[in-house]
Amino acid sequence: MSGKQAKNVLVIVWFVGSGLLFSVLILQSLFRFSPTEREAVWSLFLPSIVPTLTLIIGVLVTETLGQAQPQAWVMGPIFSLTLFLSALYLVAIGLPIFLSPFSDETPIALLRASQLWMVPLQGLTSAALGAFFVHKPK
Amino acid sequence: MSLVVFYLALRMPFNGSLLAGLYSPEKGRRLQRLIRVLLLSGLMSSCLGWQEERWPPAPSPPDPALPPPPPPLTAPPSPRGREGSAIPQFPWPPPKASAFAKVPRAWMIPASLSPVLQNVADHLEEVLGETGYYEKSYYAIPGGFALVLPIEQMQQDGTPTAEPDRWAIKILHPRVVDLQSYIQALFTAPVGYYRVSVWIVTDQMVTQDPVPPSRDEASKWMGGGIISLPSETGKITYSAAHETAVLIYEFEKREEADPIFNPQSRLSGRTHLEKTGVWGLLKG
Repeated sequence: MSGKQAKNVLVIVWFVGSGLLFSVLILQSLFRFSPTEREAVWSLFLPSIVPTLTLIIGVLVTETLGQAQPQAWVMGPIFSLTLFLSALYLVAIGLPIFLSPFSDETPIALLRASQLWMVPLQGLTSAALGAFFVHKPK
Repeated sequence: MSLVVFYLALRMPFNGSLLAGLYSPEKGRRLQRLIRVLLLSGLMSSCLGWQEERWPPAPSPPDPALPPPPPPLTAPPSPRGREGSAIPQFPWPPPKASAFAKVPRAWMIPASLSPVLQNVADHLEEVLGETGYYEKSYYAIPGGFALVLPIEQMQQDGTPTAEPDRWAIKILHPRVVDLQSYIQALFTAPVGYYRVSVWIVTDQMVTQDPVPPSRDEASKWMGGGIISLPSETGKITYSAAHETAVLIYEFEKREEADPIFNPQSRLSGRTHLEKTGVWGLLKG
């Protein structure tokens, strides 16, 4: 798989995953959350998604403008690891949102609780993505 | 801190050696004595101050030049209970209710019993017990008594939530059984509907204070009264002037939001009583 194809796969995973989460949260903000809840939920959600999306978009824009050469080939294990961590991370963000109907806890309480495992997972995912997107072949 | 000061004051040498380098031996001794006295007096005054803080200040005698304070604007004095203690007074006039209903006088006491408030209370307790209200709280009101029932969770149509959730304060989340209920639960906030019923038996005119209670206040009513009608109140004749009314205080609560008093219930007071089964049982 070429570097461009691998990046495209990751871009699709990230944009579809985060788009789905964004859509659900927007609908919940409109129909479910009180103003206080809205603020709390978005302040927890945005920092976990936006930095990664910014990195991906930044690399894509830079490559499109021709300022950086796309990577010709990628190592299979690195791509697999990055893809796995990305998927796991997006699922981990979505869990408290999509499982909230089955819990007696409020969505905010679940999101707050999820920060316990989200922080280390975010570090690992960001490191893998950063290495993958920013890596320059020798 | 006081102990440290006390220790320093005691351990300070008498010969002025601490200040030997700065002053002459005689001057140093005097200064050290002065410092010791100051430390010990400071220690004593701080101890006295602590004592004053610990003990409540003695009431100051009234100033004869000032007019006597006006009497507090409260309800008439409460009757005495069985043990002679004052019975808690329910706010009078009662706070604004979401709904109310007047119960026909004849339903409140069986014809075979003597018409006294104790028999009214006993009959009411029996009916309420049959509908699940086992805990009650009595208050004194002018010309009778108020009976407060515990805060209960109900459905939107006034039907009490099934036990034990009926008495739960936490909002109940709807059960997810299929995709439709899942989507509904995902995008709509669960709402808790709460109700506090206050039965009022009095021969006085019942008006309502325009200020509604908060849910916390209404919740505290249950714990603030007494568990049985005082004998003195129970002996009062249930006269033709007595009326029985139920005031319903309804609250709504969404997740993470404060409970909101519903100033106008969608249901009438009678519907509330019908949904709990009390109306039918009283009617006989």
